[in-house]
Amino acid sequence: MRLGRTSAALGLLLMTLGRLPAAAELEMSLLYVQAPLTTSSGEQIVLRLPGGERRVLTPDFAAAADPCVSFDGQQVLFAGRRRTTDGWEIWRMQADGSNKRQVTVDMADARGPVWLAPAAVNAPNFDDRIEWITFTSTAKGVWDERQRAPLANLYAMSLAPVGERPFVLWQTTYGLGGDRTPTVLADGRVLFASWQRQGYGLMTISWAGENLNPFYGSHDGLLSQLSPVELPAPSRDIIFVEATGDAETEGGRLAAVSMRRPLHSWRLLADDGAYRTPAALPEGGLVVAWRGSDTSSFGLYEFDLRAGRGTVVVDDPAWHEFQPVPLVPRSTPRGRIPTVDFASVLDVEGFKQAGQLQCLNVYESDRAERSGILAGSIRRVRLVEGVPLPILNPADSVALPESTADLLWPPAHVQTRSLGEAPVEADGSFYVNVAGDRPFYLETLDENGGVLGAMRSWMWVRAGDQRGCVGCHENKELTPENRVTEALRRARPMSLVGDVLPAEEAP
Amino acid sequence: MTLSQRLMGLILALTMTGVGLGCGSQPEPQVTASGESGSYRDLSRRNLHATAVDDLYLSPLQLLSSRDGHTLYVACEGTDEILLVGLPGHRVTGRIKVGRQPFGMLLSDDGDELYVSHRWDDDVGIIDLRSREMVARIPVGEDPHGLAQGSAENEIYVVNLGTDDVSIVDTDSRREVRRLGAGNAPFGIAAVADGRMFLSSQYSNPAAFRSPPALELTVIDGEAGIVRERRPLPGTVIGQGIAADPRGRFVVTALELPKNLLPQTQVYQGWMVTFALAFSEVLAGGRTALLLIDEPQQYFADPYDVAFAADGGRLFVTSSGVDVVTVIDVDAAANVLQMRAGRIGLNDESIRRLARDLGASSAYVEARIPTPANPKGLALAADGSRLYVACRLADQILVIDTEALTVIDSIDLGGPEQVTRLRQGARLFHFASISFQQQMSCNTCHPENNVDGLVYDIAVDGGMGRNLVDNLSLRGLAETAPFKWTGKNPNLQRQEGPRAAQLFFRTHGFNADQNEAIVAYIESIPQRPNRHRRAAGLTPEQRRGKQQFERQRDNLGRYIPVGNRCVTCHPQPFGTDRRRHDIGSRAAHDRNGVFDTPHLLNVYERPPFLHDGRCWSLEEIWTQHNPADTHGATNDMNKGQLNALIEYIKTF
Repeated sequence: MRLGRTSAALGLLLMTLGRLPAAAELEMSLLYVQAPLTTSSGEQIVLRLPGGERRVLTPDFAAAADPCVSFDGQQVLFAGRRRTTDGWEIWRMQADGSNKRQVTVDMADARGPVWLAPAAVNAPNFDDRIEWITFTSTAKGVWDERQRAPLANLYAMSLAPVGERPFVLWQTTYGLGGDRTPTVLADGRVLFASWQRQGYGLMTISWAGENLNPFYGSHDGLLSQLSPVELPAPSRDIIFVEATGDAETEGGRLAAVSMRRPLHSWRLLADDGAYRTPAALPEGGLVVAWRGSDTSSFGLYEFDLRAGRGTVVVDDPAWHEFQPVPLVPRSTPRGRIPTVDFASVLDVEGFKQAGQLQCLNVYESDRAERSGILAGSIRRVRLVEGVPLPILNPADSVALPESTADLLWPPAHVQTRSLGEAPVEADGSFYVNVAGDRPFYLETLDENGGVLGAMRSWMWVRAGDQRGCVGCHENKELTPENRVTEALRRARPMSLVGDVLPAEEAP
Repeated sequence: MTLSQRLMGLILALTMTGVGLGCGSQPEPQVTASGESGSYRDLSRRNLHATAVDDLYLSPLQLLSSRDGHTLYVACEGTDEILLVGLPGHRVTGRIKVGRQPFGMLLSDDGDELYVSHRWDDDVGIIDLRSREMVARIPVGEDPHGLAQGSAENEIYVVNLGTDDVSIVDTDSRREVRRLGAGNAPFGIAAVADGRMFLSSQYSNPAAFRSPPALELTVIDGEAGIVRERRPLPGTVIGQGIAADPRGRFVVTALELPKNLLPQTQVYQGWMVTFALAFSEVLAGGRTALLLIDEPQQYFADPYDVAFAADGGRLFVTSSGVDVVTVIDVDAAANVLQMRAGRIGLNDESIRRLARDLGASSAYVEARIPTPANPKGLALAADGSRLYVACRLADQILVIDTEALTVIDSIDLGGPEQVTRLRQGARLFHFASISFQQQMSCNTCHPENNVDGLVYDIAVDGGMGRNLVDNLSLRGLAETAPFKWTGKNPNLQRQEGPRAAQLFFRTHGFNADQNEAIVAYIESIPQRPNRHRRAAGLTPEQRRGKQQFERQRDNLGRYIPVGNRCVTCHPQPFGTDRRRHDIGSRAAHDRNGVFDTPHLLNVYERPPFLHDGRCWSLEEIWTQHNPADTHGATNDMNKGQLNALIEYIKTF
């Protein structure tokens, strides 16, 4: 990034006075995280006031990070741990750092909390909207599919009682690659980074875990996209950090896609130095962590999206500064009544634990077209569940070379078992009841049971939800055809909710 | 059927107001004789909700620019007026009272007379613009909409939505001289250079059960006065505005591409509905391609009117459900279609795929211009430099510079500044922000407060493919609770509130205040005048039908149990006992066979019939789907008796 006239050096000079300069005329309070250069922990959340005065808000924590400001600008969620030996839990506090309260308990490492739109789940009136948050957690105590780290998935949690329950905690993603850096979009969806074989791609779900869909990023690419943030309307561009390494901690280049057409609008914003954790400013600007070289520290810069240049806000060479968050009110995203759990739309006994899946046409697929699969050749579809390995010893983490570990499918460190098979009709459709909240992938089979194709990523159906797919890895800009599938004309789905087969390697 | 089912969008289920219960006194139906256009009974609850201010909203719907560029004519459906707006002063200079629900406007060749269609009066008014008085009214078909100049100087075409036809009117003799058939509910009309007329239609022609709908583009030979072509537009409904390309390549219609045959499991990826423009070749036997105006992450609901720039380089579309004018680069669109010598170059498979491609719009959508509430009719200034946009629920005319694509003025027509509860409800009803990614408004499935004529797979209560329900009209349902075909929803608050939000809009829906406003609006929706109910009383055939409806013995003298008489479950005045019955209509796809009794008010306006919409005509209900007399004792009736019965039922 090209620097404005106010340089980082000026920031260094003034920092020695205990104040950081308002080099960029940022006339709002800002939260951010500062971390020592020499250790991997010890992060603290800092409040920077207009004019540059700063104050550490979490001195009573061994580490605190991931601040997220409520929509009214009054409260802050963050991840913290009191002692270095504790796991990370989600906490909340007032914006001035007072009244800290622990939100999650025993969630292993819970990170990246995000405020969700208030939503009600009290059927049938759905008139009691309460606060919800989402975050990542490794609470399941299993390895990710590479056995490199504990598996992190997204969870949604109420901050108020629901009926007689003191709170509700839902796991909302079930992929086995690991999920990171969630954010909430103006339309209410959660946008997050999800491991897709060789890198993190951006995916969306509803806040309750319905409607998993790719947003940007390929299953096949080595690039990872992390730390997405949506600019306010009218822009609504999505800014993110992109890198082949760990873009969340090491940084990467700054890129953007348009909300109008995210799959076909990628553009590079800046690739000098390393960027991380961008945040939107209320008027459409951006503040982002940046450093010029691997040996320097990250500082915070206000980034001019049109000029492609930055102006320093905070840059203390003794610390890394990152995860900036404007401490201002912002628009509340769209809420949504979920269709899962006790709000399930499936008024059928047993469906509280199962979901429904219909695919309109398995031949609607760029993969099938590329591999020359002929219409009519797919006779059945097999659902293969992925079963992660438990973490028996944290030291068991392995690090196979990327080229071998990440190209295997199913991944080497995941057990698989068949959930069953369902017929594929002549028009390419199938319709199943499937065990809910379990990761699985699909294999298409020929008349002899031979595998014609297989997904290379995980999908799931939330218990109590219904899901429709246009095709199998189809062009995501294509709407479905308006027709009754042959599978649906049977009006009875193939049931894959009974006893699953014993865990075994998939054929 | 639940409201939700009927109202398909949010209001799906709104079919009947579940009111009833403790909602205060029920208003007395207001019966008004209205001559040839039938009598009008206001069975709504408007009197409970309306204030004096509600009668003052103008609700401009259609526009027409004078040839000299000095006057803009504004048809206001709220006050039954034509407003005259001086140009370029942008001030209201005159008001002319006209018939009920003015819609289409057309100037005579000499510009001295203005023709206006009156939707509720079934006629065309002739206004002398010098005296500013209505000098004649010419009866035409029912519910007349669009108007167009015919090939002869003294000939105009009137599109009759209610009778599915077109009236050719001789303006000299001031009478209708011929009637031509059209598609189902024809709406707009556009003339091309060789004198042919292209008609859009609002509803699908009858289609097989669980098959896609198809609008018709009717092509009339203006010289010969006959229908030359009936072009089907597969997969489409709610065709409204239509315009002809000044360069003579195609006519364009705004319409919807519903996904009603899919289980309503999600909204994302255009799963519920998308919106498009039909580009149809002007050449005889022309092909049609559909270009979506939506984007992958945002939808532009309820396209209404279309207008070409004078040079044909741009096309303007009112996206009435999102308060936007969408601007199309016509040459870019033609490139996408690979237009050559007036023909679309794409093959059929490419055309089919293009109709599903949300990303395509990035190639031809040039701009989106925000507007005040509910943009409807469009008119281009005589010199082409300005585009006027009727913003119906704001009582304003937006003025857009057609070169710079900037808003240069907003003309206040003088409606009340106050936003009443009913006005608030109307705006909510017509605004798609209620739905995820703005994919649909209530109006999307209930255009003009009626229905889209589709059957939806609601997918709940048993799973996908197990809950097929016919969408129902919102007109006059205030006193007909409960709602939904299952009758599970006791009132509209439940029906169009959380249920619609959860199942259709996939949002959190309206808040409590908004919910009350939209319920008030829906309860205030009146019936249209019933063309089968004459002020003079029942016709002889209708009287015979009434006897069949109330009969206690069949033709063989057998006693008909009370529960199997028409009148038992469908009593006056609404035609429903508000109870659930099993009439033997359960199909393999139904979870059970007990359904709420639908009301019969203006039932002829809203085919298809039965809970899953399996019948396209009232006759089929008894000739095809009542083999065991479980839906009333009817199998002994002869054809004349059944016809009479149906004629009587139409009078409710």
